[in-house]
Amino acid sequence: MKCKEIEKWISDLMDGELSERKRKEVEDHLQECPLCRVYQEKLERIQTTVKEVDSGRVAPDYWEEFPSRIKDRISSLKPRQRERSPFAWGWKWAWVGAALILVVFMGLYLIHFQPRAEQEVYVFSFEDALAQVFQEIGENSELAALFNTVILASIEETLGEIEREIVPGWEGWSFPEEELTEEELIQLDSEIKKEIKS
Amino acid sequence: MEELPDDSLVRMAKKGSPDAFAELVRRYQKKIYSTIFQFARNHHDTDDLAQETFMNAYQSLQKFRQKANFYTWLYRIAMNTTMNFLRKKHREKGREELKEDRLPSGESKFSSSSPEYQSQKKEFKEKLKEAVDSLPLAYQATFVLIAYQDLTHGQAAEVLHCSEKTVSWRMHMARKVLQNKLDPYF
Repeated sequence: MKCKEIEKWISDLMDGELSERKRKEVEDHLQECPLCRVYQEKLERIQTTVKEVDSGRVAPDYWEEFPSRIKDRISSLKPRQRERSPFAWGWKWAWVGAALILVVFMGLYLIHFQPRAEQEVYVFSFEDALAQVFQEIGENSELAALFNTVILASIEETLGEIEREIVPGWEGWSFPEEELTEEELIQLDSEIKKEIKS
Repeated sequence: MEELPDDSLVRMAKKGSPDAFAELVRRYQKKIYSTIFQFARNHHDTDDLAQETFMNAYQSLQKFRQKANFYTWLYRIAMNTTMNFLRKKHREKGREELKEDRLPSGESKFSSSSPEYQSQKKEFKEKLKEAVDSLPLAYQATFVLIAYQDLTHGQAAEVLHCSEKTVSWRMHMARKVLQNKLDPYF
């Protein structure tokens, strides 16, 4: 078991989100690896200190008055401002009508213009997704280095599980990136896209 | 009113009861305030953002379908409001590099038996705050929700609109960055 993988599991363990099997592996590893033990101690120190950091204490009066302040602001709103939704009753029928027209047109299109040509195949662009990620990371070299480490560890973790399930005991087996399955690439792509959106 | 569950209060507030909404505010004001404070770091901005969060929640209440918990939905509004504020603030300030007044590395500077224990503890807290503030926003948000507010990965995923796996990786990366930045102060 590699330390990089264990570091990720230590983080999950601290959040109470680690499976029993992995928990056991972490415990066994920690007994043998002083570096990971130090890493765990440092994370625990951070966690303890987080709880002591100022969470913005204010006078008790503040909490008593706060709900009233919100109530006052609500009552000062004009009736139209009380609901921000564009789906207010006045507009609702217009939206429903527009949706119906759209459905009818789409139905007609599908009946009369059913595509006869070969369907376009979606080409998964792993390079584009990565380029976007690197753009997001920008000049933050620390984050870039960490991203590389994490992606590698993520692939290793997934492959480790596959290895255990399908080819138990195949020690030292490595899985080149270009041999990832389409499903794995799509999963990786969706994770990257989520990161970019967030 | 105090004994009613969130769901009932939400239904009453949707029908126009300001008292029901005020009770929801009373229930969650401290959690929302302390979460926002971890980003804003001052009372003035935190107060503004907390008010904004509850006003946004009130004005969007009709859209809340009550499939998720009210507090998860409220956290999401708080995070969006705070993130928008911080992005605007960062744009105004420009991208500033975090000042790193690193101490020389070597033997551990932190020992409970040391006479400098209190001042070192205070320094560590300050450095931790700085390090958390320097995290990319998505990582900071995840870290605050889980490490400060004790949300589970599942709850944080709901608030942040991402998968639990993403939350788990973000926590790992955030901790690794914090550990690196704080390394000279352990």
